[in-house]
Amino acid sequence: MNKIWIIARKDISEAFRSRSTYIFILIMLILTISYVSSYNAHVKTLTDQRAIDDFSRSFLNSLAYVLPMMYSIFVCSIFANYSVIVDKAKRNIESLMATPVTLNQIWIGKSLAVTLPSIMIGISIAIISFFGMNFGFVMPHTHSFIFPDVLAIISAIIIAPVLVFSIVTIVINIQLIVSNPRIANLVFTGIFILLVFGINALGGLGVSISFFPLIYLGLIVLCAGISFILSRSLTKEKVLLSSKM
Amino acid sequence: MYDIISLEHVNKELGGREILKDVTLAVKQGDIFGYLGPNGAGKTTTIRIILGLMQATSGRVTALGQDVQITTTRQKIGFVLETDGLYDNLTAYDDLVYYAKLYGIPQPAQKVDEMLKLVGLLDRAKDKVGTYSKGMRQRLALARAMSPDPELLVLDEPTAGVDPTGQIEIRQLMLDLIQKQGKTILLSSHNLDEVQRICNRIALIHKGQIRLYGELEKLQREMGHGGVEIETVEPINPQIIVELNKLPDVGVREQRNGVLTLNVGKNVDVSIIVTLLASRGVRIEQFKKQQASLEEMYTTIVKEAEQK
Repeated sequence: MNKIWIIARKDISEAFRSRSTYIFILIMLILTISYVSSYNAHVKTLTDQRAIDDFSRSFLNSLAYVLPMMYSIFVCSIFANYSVIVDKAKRNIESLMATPVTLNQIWIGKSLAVTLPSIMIGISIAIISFFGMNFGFVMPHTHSFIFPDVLAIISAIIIAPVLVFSIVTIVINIQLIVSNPRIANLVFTGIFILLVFGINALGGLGVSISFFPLIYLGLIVLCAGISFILSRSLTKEKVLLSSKM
Repeated sequence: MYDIISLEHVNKELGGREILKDVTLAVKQGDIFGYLGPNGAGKTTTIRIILGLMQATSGRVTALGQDVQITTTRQKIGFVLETDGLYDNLTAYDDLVYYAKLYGIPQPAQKVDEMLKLVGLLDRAKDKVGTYSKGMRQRLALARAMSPDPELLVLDEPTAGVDPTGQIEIRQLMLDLIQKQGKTILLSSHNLDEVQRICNRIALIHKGQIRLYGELEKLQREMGHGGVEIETVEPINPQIIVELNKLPDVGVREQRNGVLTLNVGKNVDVSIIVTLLASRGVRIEQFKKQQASLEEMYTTIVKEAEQK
């Protein structure tokens, strides 16, 4: 476990030395503003106070259900770039594999290096958005601070991070064995887009947002299964031969 | 002396191509073992197998008497690979601390300082590795390799890109590691002069097969064209040269600057030559069998292999 943390910590510190990490955070903040504007557009159409309160509560809960997950996935690609893609391109991974570290330790260490900062950023922005929304937009309409549901909090701080980690382990595994790991990075973008459209689609089908944790749990089980299968085919030789020669 | 590295009938296939063919060799404790061969001969693949980065298709590989796939085996192996494995965004100090921690070195900071001092980079410890020259990077990689105090060092072209002064320093460092600390070194290199200067045993690989293997001096003698050099105090009388030429399987090649060079057959007992000269009152200052240079050996073997 100690070696996993050593790998993860080094990769995280390297990523935070890059300017692109901060550019990504800025992009996310801009995305949040566009998300917030959708609240304003809808709340103006409501006249009944009860309807405004219900909509506001539902909207703020959706922040807790969706934003940590969406933003974490979005920012994962930048951390994966440092953790795996650059390491493979410069063939530093070869030296890393020659040390007394197992390939599974490298895999998990790098997955954590991608997951932990992404979740930290995702949750932080969700919290900032939640308070910003409450004070800046919601309270003028509801005249009270709205707290998220317990399930929404559990989803934000436990279920979503576990799901992000499950997805990351799959992507990192693929990145370790394919010769063009940048393509595997597109998986993160794909999931992000899928989430955006998926949420809208589920909303259209009348699926309550409180079902999201259940959907997340199902996906965790699926991802864990895929990770397990992929881990069996992960070898140092595959990683080495797929690195730039 | 036990075998620190042992490869027995190792074969390696990649994508239907045979990279290594029945490779058998042993690196003994205390060796500086030179591993030579042209590009694409199979040197890097051998090194990767020794470090557990690749698996042999067949055959047996051990390092320090253990399976190379075992993590504890790699704990005792230091390495410098073709690419140095250093992180450009980290400082030299952080780079070494990172690897020291992976090796589980107690008090890594202290060890890292010691190693940086040893390779003369202590004053640049806080600079990012990305700002280092190729030579400095190689020295840093060598410091990293030595940090865990390994029993075996696997070095792939450790002096590539290093200036002549740096090369001398690295060579001296390798010799010190052998003489003072009893380490074993596997040195893969294209620098034949370097190998000749420091290696006691060598293997030459070409097209995946070991073509030459053994103690360097012995191999040099065996491939030394049977020449003998005799340095005398005064020039030798032409009459004695006629007598020497009459000896079976002996022929005088030349006499220049007080050095007589003879071609001697494989089965000739050279003491006959010395006895003859002594009986004719020739005072001998030095007597030595001519050895083939590593460059000659390398060229001959590679040419022979190409013609097959």
